[in-house]
Amino acid sequence: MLAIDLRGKRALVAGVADDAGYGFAIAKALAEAGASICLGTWPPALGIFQTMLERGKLDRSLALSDGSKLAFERIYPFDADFDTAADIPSEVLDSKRYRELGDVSIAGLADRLAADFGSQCLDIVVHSLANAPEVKKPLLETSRRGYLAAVGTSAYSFASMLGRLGPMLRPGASLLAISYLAAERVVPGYGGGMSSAKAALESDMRTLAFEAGRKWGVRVNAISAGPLASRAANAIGDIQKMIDHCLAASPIPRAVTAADVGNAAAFLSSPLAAGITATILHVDEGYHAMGVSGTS
Amino acid sequence: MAENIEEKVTKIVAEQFEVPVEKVALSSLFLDDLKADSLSVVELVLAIEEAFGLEIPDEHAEKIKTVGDVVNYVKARVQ
Ligand SMILES: NC(=O)c1ccc[n+]([C@@H]2O[C@H](COP(=O)([O-])OP(=O)(O)OC[C@H]3O[C@@H](n4cnc5c(N)ncnc54)[C@H](O)[C@@H]3O)[C@@H](O)[C@H]2O)c1
Repeated sequence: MLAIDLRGKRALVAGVADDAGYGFAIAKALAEAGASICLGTWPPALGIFQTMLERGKLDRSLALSDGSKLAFERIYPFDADFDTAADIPSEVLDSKRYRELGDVSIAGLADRLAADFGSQCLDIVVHSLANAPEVKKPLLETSRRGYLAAVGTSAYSFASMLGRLGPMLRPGASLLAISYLAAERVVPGYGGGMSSAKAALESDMRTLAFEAGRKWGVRVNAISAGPLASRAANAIGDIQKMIDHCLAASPIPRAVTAADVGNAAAFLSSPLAAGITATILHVDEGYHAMGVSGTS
Repeated sequence: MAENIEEKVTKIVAEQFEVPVEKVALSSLFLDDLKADSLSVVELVLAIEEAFGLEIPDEHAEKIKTVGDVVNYVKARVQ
């Protein structure tokens, strides 16, 4: 039987702070396939996430099919806005949610991983995070600052992570970013430079696939995922409307689930996908292919 | 007991949002009046659960917008 087997592999999933988003579902699918999972969690959401874990509020979502409970190997405080400790402004360092966390930068994450598991310790890296302070504004009204913040957090962070984690990757490693159709098509309401950030992310993914492929022999891909009512999506606007629209217009009239994306991510991260790199895989019930929609 | 709940809630709200107790009224809106962000509201709900030994389901948590909402919720369950 052909199976996805990730036993003995270690994954880092960046961008998990509850059980509702794509990052969580990907972490779970990788764990189902046998990988051990480390998370990178945004400091402002870290306390809440840990409390929910401690109080058992996520137990149902953490249940694996073999009856065991998903236990994260580590949960690192991680802010993808900062490349090194020196980039963290002092007012952030002193603020309530960062005060005791130390170096939460991308370089800091690499250091923590190396200290915990050695200098070559990673097989799978997943980037499942995005943020844009002006996401509710159309691009026409987005400030330069808001635009650059969106691209910095949501796209550059992937290149920065790859640069810093690259030397820690084991042979055959896989890197994955989560993108969205707004990179290639117009999605009204997905503003603040988020569409620009996703376009950059997808283009970077290809360039990084070449550079990192030649340098470390690793694969780099992206999943373009359909709409999901995650915490981040709820903050953007009426995500249910998007879900209903896609459901009505897609070749398969069914809402994409977080588990669908998790399973696709597990495949792409596995040796079964050894020939796949520099690729965007749409996990959206085929919605991206439609030109005229709405006929049922 | 009723008064205690109000005091206890006010104290927790002031602590969570880092505002002086005097600024916290029953009618205070978390987001507008107390300048809290959505994550601090989630933290508040968790702190209230802990303080009163309650479980506040998400559907209810979403409706909690003022200090008075918390007090009413707790009163209805604790007494
Ligand atoms: N939900 C959708 O409809 C949808 C569709 C396509 C793609 N995506 C993408 O999927 C990915 C995951 O998002 P999601 O929708 O599952 O929501 P989510 O809320 O589960 O994940 C977003 C995560 O990003 C984290 N984050 C934000 N800023 C950060 C920073 N500076 N440093 C570190 N972490 C930070 C948040 O804490 C959160 O955990 C994102 O890249 C998103 O753009 C989402």
